[in-house]
Amino acid sequence: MDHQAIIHKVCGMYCDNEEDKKDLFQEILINLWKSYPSFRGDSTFTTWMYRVSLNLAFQRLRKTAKNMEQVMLPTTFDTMKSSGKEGLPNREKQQMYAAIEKLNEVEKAIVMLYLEEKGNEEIAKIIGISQNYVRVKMTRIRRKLKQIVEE
Amino acid sequence: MELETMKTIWKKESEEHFQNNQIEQEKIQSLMKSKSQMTFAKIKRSMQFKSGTAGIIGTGALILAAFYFFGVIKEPLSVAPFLSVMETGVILFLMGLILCVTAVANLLSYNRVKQFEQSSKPLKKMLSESVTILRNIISLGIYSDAIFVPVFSGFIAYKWLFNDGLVSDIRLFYLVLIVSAAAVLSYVIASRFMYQKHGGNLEKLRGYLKELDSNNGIPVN
Repeated sequence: MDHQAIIHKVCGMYCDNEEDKKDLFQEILINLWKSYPSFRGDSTFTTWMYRVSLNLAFQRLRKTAKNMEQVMLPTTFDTMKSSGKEGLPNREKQQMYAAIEKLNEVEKAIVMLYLEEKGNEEIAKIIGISQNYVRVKMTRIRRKLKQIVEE
Repeated sequence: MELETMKTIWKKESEEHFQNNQIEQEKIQSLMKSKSQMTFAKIKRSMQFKSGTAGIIGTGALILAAFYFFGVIKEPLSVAPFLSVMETGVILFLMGLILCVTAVANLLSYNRVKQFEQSSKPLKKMLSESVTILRNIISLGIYSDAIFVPVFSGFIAYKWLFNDGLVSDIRLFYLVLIVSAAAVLSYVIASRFMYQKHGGNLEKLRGYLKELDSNNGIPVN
């Protein structure tokens, strides 16, 4: 599993611009580094990473990144949204990102974990809700996505 | 679009974009050194500053008050020559005490936010904690900003009303009235200021939490 990709995906999912993304990326890195000694192994490493990263994405609250040191991050989710890579039809990709954009923050987290092939049990552990409620949320998200596409 | 289709697209995209786009060690180090602009990081910095300045000024005021009480300094402060030596000592002591309490409260809150930031608890629990922490930060901000006004206005009013020393008459009622009015007014102003600053964030966090509440929303067929 590529651990850096987890941070990129969370940043891409919750940030609209490059500055904001850098800020969140930095914050996640620092806090993963600082909280690593408290990782007891009672969950998998990726579950722990998703928890720390999503917690920080939700704590971010406001987009204010004016004084950040200019460090360019490589091409990630942001550019994925607009690029037309070979191999996949561009329209489908754009449709997927447009649909995700319309979900609320909590739904985005659940969808991202689902797309990352996490099972209900792991999603429930990361989000802190019951497995049953994960299923409920997934059903609602499916309906919502269907509506979005139909629109 | 079905979620299963999205999963295929997502997987393909991840393979194409993330595996060949690793950030180098130096860039990571550089990122870790830069100043964060995140809400809680800003709150933490502000608390650190408040705690430091309030602690230094408060300790200074307490030392100065002790000098006045023990007769080391026998002249009132040049900025308030109308106060007696004992009154100067009392007002400095009160100011020092309030500032030191503010410094300690900010330091405790700072440590709590720091611990909370590194938490790897599930999202819902973290959101619930962040609502509590933000509410405490708002309360701390309100009380630490609002407490000075009634204390100082009370002192000035006392000086103005009781030139001949404290007597139990109608003036005492006026003094209580002035202090109460100052307390209410400063509380209202400080509350408004703090809610303007953090109220939006608090509502946002409550919104996320509500979204994760299983009793909220339409039941599934």
